[in-house]
Formats: sequence, structure tokens, C-alpha cells
Amino acid sequence: MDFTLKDARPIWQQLADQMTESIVTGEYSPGERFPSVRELAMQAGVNPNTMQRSLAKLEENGLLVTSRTAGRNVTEDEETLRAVRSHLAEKRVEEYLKDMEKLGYSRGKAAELARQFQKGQEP
Amino acid sequence: MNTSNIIQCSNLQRTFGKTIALNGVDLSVGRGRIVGLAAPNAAGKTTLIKILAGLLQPTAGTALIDGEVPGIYTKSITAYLPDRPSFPDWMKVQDSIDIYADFFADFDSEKAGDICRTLKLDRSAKIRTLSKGTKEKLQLMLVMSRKAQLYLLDEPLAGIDPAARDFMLHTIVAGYNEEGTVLISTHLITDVEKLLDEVIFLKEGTVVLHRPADEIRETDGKSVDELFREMFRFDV
Amino acid sequence: MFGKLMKYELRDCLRIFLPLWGAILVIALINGLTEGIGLSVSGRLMEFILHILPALLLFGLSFGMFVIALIIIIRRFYSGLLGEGGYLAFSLPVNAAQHITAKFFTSLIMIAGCVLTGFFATVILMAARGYLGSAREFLEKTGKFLSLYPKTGILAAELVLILLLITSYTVLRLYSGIAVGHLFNSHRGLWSVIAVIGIGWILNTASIWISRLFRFFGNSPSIEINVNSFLDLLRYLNLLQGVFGIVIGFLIAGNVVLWLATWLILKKRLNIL
Repeated sequence: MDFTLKDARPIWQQLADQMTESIVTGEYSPGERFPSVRELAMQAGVNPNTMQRSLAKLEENGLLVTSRTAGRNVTEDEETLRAVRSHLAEKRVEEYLKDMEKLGYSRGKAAELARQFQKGQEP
Repeated sequence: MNTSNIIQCSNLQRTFGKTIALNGVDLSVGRGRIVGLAAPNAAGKTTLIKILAGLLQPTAGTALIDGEVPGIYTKSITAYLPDRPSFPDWMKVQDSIDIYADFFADFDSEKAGDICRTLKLDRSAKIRTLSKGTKEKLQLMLVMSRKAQLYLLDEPLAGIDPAARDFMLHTIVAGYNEEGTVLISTHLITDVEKLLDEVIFLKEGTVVLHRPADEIRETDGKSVDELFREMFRFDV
Repeated sequence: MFGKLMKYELRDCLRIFLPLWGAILVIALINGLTEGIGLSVSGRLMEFILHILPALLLFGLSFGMFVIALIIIIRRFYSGLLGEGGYLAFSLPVNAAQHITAKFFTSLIMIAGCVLTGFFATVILMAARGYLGSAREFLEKTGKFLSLYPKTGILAAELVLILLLITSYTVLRLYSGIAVGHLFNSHRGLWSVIAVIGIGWILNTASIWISRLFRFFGNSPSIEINVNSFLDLLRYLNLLQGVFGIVIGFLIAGNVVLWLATWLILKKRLNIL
């Protein structure tokens, strides 16, 4: 995982977002064992308490499942993964539309441009 | 003694002739956390840390480590990293490890060996031959090999090139005793912020801020470094 | 912990002194051998190399040995404890009293080593020149004398004690001077020198005043030495023992005062810059 802090949002939140991304993009497969707090904290170069907070968030969202016997694993619940993935996708669309608005494209025009672009890619 | 606050300062004052370095510091630091200490000029930070380490006495007020005045007991549970090299040049790296192992019951020789390997410290090298950055690594290795209740790191990143700083921070996170408290004084807040649970700002010899680091981001919407620059705009 | 401090102090000092002492003894041996060989030397150059050079070397090194001892004693306290070395020294779980005592004992041991080296170098020289026989005679005669007049033996022992106390007093005078210098924030070296001189003067004056005080209260012994017979000499020795006793008393007091002063400064006014 690549942990870089880009903005002034709380560190634990940025870490949580990045870990969420790595899960839904498949870097970690469903059911796969997730590294420990200490390992992740060292990878990211952050305070273990901070990392603990991020992991707690992911558990709250259902992306990580902790059991006493098996430790901390990525969820196998396809529904949750799908939901998070589509939520992220929606956020990205929203970002795209906002960015295009700054360039002067209305939301309709922006969507149209995307469609054209997609058509242009097809053989 | 096992008090809840590892550090307790009350109206701590220290003057050097006419210069007032600490002008009534009131401070409580709990256990098991990493705390940053930032100030625009060096005088206050190092003075405070030296008093906690027992190298200096206050001119007024008190500083307590685990409820006791700095002395034999507090030194046995405190790992101090000074802002300058503290080993005679003719010694070898291994000699410094032996001294630490001899005097500090909480010193972990195996860990020291591991950290030496990670930081690429040659144990048979004479300290005289080491560069400034390598000497810093040596001192950090010694300090982090102890399972101390309090780590006092005075500018651990000074003199370290940017590429090696992550290494140093990694060593700190990987090495420290999680039940212990780490107090890091630094100018390089940006590098260190990711490590911090809490941050303390010192201005004109008193504590002007002591908050959880992520609370600053959540509430003020800015990084600790940005807040620092804002508060000390005209002081640097 | 104190034992560990002593171990490191001794080790660090012996690193320097053992080779030096060894060198002196070897050169004494060489000196002795070349003398003993009694070669009929041809020419000035050979004479220089065989006789004069080793002798010069021996005297030079022996003198240098004491100078080095002084320098090391000062350095280990001034920079090793209260200077840069203070960062390490005072982060160890050891208190000021232990630091001072460890350095103090080590200094005395090093000085003793230097004295012993000088003694053995002399013995070697004497042996090589064939004086051992007469030395043994001298010792036998001295032994007989001592068994007849044991009091002289006690006096001799007291004299040694006085020399020891003067040595320790000197070391503590240096330490306390350095400690006083430590009270200042700048120019510590300069203040230390002034303090060492000043402390000596103060204690000197104080002892004179105290002895005047005693003379005021007690009866002032106007000493008339009339040695008409051997018995008078013995009475004189008794008096000498009394004098020695007083001197020892003053020296012990001086040592204690200086140790306490050093300790108090380090305990209450430590300021490692």
C-alpha cells in the first residue's frame, strides 16, 4: 500500500480512505488476512494509535472483519464490497462533474463529453 | 511509583543569567503516547528536555517524572537522546552498546543488533570515523533499544538528510515501548506529525498549546505544521 | 552501579597508563642493562645512544607521566563529567556522589600507579647497577631500628598518610575548583582556574586562623628543642607525632570540606551546557 498524506484532513481518515481503496481495487482479496496494526503503522510511518483508529473505521464500515481466532481479515461479503465500490465510483463521478464545472462545462455537457470519449475509444 | 502522568511540570522556570528560557511551564503528559514538542527557537525545548533528563535544574517550580524529581530512579526509566553526540570519539560503536547494556536494565541487546543492521551501523567502527548523520543513528539506536517508560528525543532528525528521515521515524515507531511515552522536540513538524498523538507548542517559555494532533486537523481544518506557522508567524 | 562506574573509569585511564608505565619500566630496564653492560664505548655517538639517550628518555617519560596524570585527572572531570561527557554521564542512573567518588578513587589509583612505577624503575636501575645488595643491607638495618623504636615506624606511616592526604587534597581542590567554575554560564575554564587558586588560598587562610584559635584557648607550646641526649630526641619525636596528628586532622577536614563542596554544587546546581 502506498500511504501518502495529501491534504489537511485528519491523518486517520486519509489512511482509512487509502486502505478502503486498496481493498475495493482488489489489492487485498476478499477473506484475505489483513496486516496487523503495528505492521501497517510502520509501513505508513504513523503512530499506531492513528492506524488503529483507521482500522476501526474500516471495521465499522464492514470492510474488515475481526475475529478472535482468525484475526483481522478482509470481508467476504460481496454485498458490502459492491456497495463500497459503487459509493466510491459515485464520489468520483461527482468529483469529475465538479471539476468540469470549473472549466465551464455544465453537468449535462460534461456527461456528454464522457459518453463521446467512451464512444471514441471503441473500435 | 506509578502515576498516571509520566511527566508533570508545575510552574517550571529556568533562567540563564538574564535569558529566560522557561517562564512557568505547566504540563501534564500521560503514558503510552507520542508527543511532539515544537517551538520557534531552540532555547525552550532543549532546556525543558534537559531538566526532564536530569542534566539541568530548574531555577523555580518542579518537574516530576513518574512522580519523582529527576534522579537515579527517573534516569533508569528514561531514555534520553541529546541534540549532540555524547560518546567520546575513541570509543567503538560496540563500546557504547556495552555501556548502555551495563547500566540500563531495560536495554535489549538483541534489538540493538537488529537496529544496527537496519540502519547499517558497523559495530566495530570507531565513533570518530562516523559522519554526523551516522552518529545520530547510533544514538537513536541506543535509545530505542531500551524498553523505557519515557523517551526524550531532542531534535532526532537534525543533521539527517531527508532520505534518511523516514528511516529514523520508522526506527522510532518500530522500537519504542508502547506502554511508554515518547517526547520528540523538533523543528521538522511536517515529517514528524504522522507519528504524533499530541502536540505541544512552546512560546516565550510557556506552553501555549497542548492538543491531540488529529483534533487540530478535524477542528481547525489544517495540519499541525500549518497551525504552527500561523501561530509563530513573526517569531521565526 | 558504583562498581560499574569504577570499572569504566579504571578501564579508560588504564588504557593510557598501562602502556606508559610499561614503557617506563622497559626503558628503565634498558638503562640498567646498558649501564650494567659497561661497554667500553668508542666515540661520542655510541656513548650518547647507549647511556645518555635512555637516561634522558627515562627522566623525560617519568616527568611526563605525572604531567599526563594531572592532565587526565583534570580532563576527565572538566570535560568528561561536566562538559560534553556530561550528556552521557548524567543520563546514567547514577548520582553525583557516585560520579565524584569514582573519579576521585580512580585518580588516586592512577597517581599511586605512577609513584609505584617510579619506585620500580628506580629498583630496576639499582638492580642493574648492582646496588641491590647494599639496598638489602639498608632495609635490614632499618628493620632492626624500627623494632627497637617502633614509634619511628608509626611516624613514618603517618608521614605516608600525610602525603596521601595531600595528594587527595590536591585532586579534590582541582575538582572543587572545576565545580565552582561550572556555576558560571561562560568562560568556565577561566573561572575554574581562578577557583582552584582561590580555594587553596581560602583553605590555607582558614587553617591558619583555626590554629590561631586553638593557640588562643590552649596553651601555646613554645617549642624549645634541646637535644642533649638520645632521650631528648625521643621526646622530640613525641612532639612530632602530635604535630603530625594535627596536620592529619586539618588535611582530613580539608578533604571533607572540598568533597562536600563539589558534591553540593553538582547535586544542586548542575548545568550541562
